[in-house]
Amino acid sequence: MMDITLLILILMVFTAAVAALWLGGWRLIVSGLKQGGYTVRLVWLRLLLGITLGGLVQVLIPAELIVEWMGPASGPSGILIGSCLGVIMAGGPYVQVPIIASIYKSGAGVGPIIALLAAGNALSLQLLFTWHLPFFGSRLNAARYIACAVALPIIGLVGSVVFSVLSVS
Amino acid sequence: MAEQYRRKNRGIDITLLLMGAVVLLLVIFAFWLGGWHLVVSGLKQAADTVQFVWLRLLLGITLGGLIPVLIPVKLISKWLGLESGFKGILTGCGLSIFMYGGPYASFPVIASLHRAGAAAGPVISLLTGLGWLGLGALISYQMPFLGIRLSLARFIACLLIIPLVGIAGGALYELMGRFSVKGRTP
Repeated sequence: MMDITLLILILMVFTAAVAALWLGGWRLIVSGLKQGGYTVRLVWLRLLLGITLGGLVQVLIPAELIVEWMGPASGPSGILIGSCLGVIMAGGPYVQVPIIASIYKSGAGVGPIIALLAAGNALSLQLLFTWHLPFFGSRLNAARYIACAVALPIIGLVGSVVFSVLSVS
Repeated sequence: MAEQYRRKNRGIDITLLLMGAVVLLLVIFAFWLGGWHLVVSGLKQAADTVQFVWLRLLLGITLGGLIPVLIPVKLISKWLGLESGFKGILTGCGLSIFMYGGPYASFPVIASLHRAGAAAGPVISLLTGLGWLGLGALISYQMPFLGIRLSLARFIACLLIIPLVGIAGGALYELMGRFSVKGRTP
């Protein structure tokens, strides 16, 4: 079934192809397709392994376990726990956000929830192995991962302050 | 570009080895926990993902191939290259807000920009910003589930911190480069 994301992607590819044709004719389009071919050659096996890994992670880590760790009793260490839990978060936003929302509703603080939301994107092993490593390799990802891991508790703290300011205003 | 690609592909691919080892470990773990049934269940989840992303991924890779031939390398270097400095990191953050389409569409584009000369710092801020600042996830998922106030607080906090992530990530990348053995890692 056709969806909005797919339609927008088709539109973007079509626009880029028309621009390439206008700028440099068929030669430029073929050159662009060759670049795409190099990317496929580089990532196809990594991507296949990553998608397999993503499927396995989803069946190995139960959602109930995540709720247990981030429940009402998490206390002041919640921001750190939220940051660390991002590592085992799996699935896209359509999977992660409902789980995190249920943790929030069960009494978790704003800081831990913000840290967890950010960590789910930045530190998720599933995302790392499925998408980041196949396209960007080990070195860039190691640098990104370490920088994000250090930044996450700060985001949790800053986010809770911003939340308080927004609540007052 | 082809020669550069071939040069990069000589030697051991550490990323591929690492991923192969982790997949093997997880298959063994799944087999130990639930036998072939759990392994097959994981592979079925993977097949569902392939079914969902293959066309989007193909379009994303095509787009990623077209962008470097449309945008001059000089322009990429100027805005996102090593000499772009803090401006490059801010450009990466700004681009990430408006990038659309999930990793299957955006990662091939960013990987192409990186190969065309975008430096590690701006690429890291762009990759991090995709997850933290993407308007699609903010509007479609976070606001409906978590409310506007909490979603905005997270967005503002991330917006403030991402430049620091870009700076620190870029510095770490350069530092790792001094100690790494030349391999296939892009």
